[in-house]
Amino acid sequence: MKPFQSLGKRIDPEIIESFEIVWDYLGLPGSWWTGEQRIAIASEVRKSNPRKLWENVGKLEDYAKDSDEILSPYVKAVARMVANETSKINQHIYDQVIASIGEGEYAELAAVVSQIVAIDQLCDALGIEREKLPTPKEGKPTLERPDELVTGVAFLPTFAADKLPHVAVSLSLAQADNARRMLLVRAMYSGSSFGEMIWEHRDLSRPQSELVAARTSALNECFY
Amino acid sequence: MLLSSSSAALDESIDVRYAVNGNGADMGVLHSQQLIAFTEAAHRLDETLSTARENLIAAVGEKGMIDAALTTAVFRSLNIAADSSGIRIDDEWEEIAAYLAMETEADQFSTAANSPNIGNHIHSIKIKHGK
Repeated sequence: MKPFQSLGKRIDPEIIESFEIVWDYLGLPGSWWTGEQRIAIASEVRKSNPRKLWENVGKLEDYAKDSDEILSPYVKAVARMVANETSKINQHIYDQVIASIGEGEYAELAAVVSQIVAIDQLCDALGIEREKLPTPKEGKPTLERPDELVTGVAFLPTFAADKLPHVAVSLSLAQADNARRMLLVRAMYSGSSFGEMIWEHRDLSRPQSELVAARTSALNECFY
Repeated sequence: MLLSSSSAALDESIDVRYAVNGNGADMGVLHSQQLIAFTEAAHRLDETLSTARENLIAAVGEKGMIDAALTTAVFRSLNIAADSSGIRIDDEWEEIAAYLAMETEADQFSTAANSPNIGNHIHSIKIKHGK
């Protein structure tokens, strides 16, 4: 059976299609992680959600960086921090993480987290069961670093924003995952109407949607 | 920012402070209390969620509730991308972001440090308005 069939009766086919695309690639080798590692990152995020109030990652330096497991305790802790305590990530923590796991690996980890969270959070909010994670496929990461990255937009190097909002290029180092992440944004939020202040493609008015968006960002202490 | 602009496009007058704080009563957006209660419950994923969901369906219908669920889910994802990468506010949004930060006190979030120009804009606005 294809994934997301339970959602299909209630949600627009374009949205389901974007979820299927994410699922098709989640278990494949990426640019910086193997398929097995990518599914382990998704699984770690899933296990940590919903987060109990007393479950904090704490200091990353307290976690072991070497391990025989698919992901080290350190990488698992980074995944949980990115998923649940993102607002704690400052330049100092970023520098520390990059020195340990690398820029590309960090960007892809964050892009995987952002995709699994979008889909799981929707299922949780609707009160329906989360989709089973795909089976990982064997293979090596491509280690492809995009050309023409710039600094000054984010902690991470990104593509030049040109006329795109910074958030659209934020995880450029994981180019394919960043594109799939933005596919979710288009399907789940704006469609082709981002620049329109009056929306007709959604059942909520645009101010109602933006109110939900603003409160969500406030709850996550996201200034952007 | 888009809340203000889209409300203006519909000739609705809203108080943006309540988008960040409070229960949304009287903020000027239709069914704002049910939308905020659902958004908060979906964030906490606690025992209040099913009631918040039912109350929102009663206000905006099943499809409206699904829209709200889609929006809160995708914005959590956007927040993760924004703050894990440390992006700063886009140049053309800085001034309006500074105004909104002054209204909502969102500049108190630690992630405001990723956009250091906002502090300068707030300072300029305060001087301009003699505050």
